[in-house]
Amino acid sequence: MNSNVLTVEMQKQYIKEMSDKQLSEAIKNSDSSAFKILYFRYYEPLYRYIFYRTYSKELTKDLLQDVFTKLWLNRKRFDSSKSLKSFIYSITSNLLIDYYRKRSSRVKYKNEIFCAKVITGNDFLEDKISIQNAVSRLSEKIKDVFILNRYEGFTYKEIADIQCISIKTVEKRMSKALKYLRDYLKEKK
Amino acid sequence: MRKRDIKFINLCIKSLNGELKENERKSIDEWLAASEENKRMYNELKKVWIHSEPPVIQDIPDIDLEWTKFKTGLQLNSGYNKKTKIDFIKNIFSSFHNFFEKKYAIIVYSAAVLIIISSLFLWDHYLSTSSFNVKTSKGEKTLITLSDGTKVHLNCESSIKCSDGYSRRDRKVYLEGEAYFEVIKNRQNFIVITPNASTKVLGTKFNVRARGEETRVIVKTGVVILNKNDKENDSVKLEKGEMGLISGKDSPNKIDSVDTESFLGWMDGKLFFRQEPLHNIIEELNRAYDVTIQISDSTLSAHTLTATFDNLPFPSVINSICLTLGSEYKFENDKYIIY
Repeated sequence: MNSNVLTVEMQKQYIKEMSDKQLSEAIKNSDSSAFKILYFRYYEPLYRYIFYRTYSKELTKDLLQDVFTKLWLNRKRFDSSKSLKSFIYSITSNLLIDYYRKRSSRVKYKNEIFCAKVITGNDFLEDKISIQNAVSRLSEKIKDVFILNRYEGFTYKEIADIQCISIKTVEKRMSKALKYLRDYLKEKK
Repeated sequence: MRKRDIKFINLCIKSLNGELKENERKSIDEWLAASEENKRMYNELKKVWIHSEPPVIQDIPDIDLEWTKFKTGLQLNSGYNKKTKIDFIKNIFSSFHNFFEKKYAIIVYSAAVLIIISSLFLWDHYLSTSSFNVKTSKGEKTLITLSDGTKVHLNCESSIKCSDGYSRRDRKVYLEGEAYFEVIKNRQNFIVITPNASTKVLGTKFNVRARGEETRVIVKTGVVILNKNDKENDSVKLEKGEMGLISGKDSPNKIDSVDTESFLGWMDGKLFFRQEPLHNIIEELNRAYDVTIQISDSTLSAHTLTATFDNLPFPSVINSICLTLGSEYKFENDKYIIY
């Protein structure tokens, strides 16, 4: 017969080490401590993702709280047979779409943080800033795909799942993004 | 944009991502060889790709702080909100107050007080002359106050009843499951009757647990007499910090100096297990969390576990247990299956 001891420290460690799949199952059953782990695990990546879309600290913080609220309220929809990460990003992506739909076009470039032309004498840095500037000018749909692939490292298949679009559409949007960035950089010269 | 361009740009991205397949490599090489224009485009795209690294983000917010804000903004614990009930009562009183002028209010309040006092007397009378029967289901606990002020904390899946009129002749209650008693002292004995034992006290705090073939009594304060049901005077006297045990038809056993807090933790949502076989733990978890756990690997059920779960949500509990035992669990048809 096996005798085992499970200490409080072990419990804490085990909770931290829960896989996304287990977290998903636990949260589905309204486990708030599992949700806390999800919060700490995804806060930073999601913060980056939303910040690249909005370029506003305060807005990102607000939207992020909305994302987690939505996740908690939709916890019954968690499906542990599917990727938790994709589900979270899909909720986030939809929230951003809603946000930009509601926002009037008048303030479209209000949050653009990069000025039109930067002269630093450093070609590499100048190009880099130009590109960042160009990324912020991409249309929201194209920008979203580009950020997910280039910044967040999602595969086309994953992006297609997150946005409920076909892989062909992802490919199209990525090409459009790259072409726009290339043309933008060329014009600058 | 032309279809051919899309195809080519895509191949370039794949190449830059390092995801090019063998046949794709061939077509991109052919494309590059076709014209200088294509080569230039490839180099330009490559430049864009290299320069389009994510910008560095400084000062990510304090996640602890954000979590606290989030938690307070959203009622994460779906527990019963006591405040609303108090507010509700307050509102009734304040609306009363607003409705009547102050001089009338005194009359109204006195009338209300009279009604409350008389109904308390009636309630007391009702309790002292009639019987009661309280049951809890899985995952449900309750606190009952009897007519003499005695408090009974009833654990999950337990029942307490009194069929021959509480406190008329004596204070005799019948218990199945587990309860903690805070008995108010008076001249009558307070007796808890369980399937194989009776526990007699005058005024004291103690816990009785009657599950399966066993009755277990833990004394927090005062003195308790634990007696076998079918044999007069086969009893033990238990004092503070002692545990009495009657297993099946055995004579009562006394165990000195037990950790009473660990046996009474259930009232605060804590679960204590000391080298407890897994099948007992599962029985207790099923009861406390209103879940159904099954063990598909029967060799596991004899394993013992020592653990304390302090108000831990259920999925975390089962996850920790499985990790400790080196087994896994799945959730299927509303059941947790350990395998």
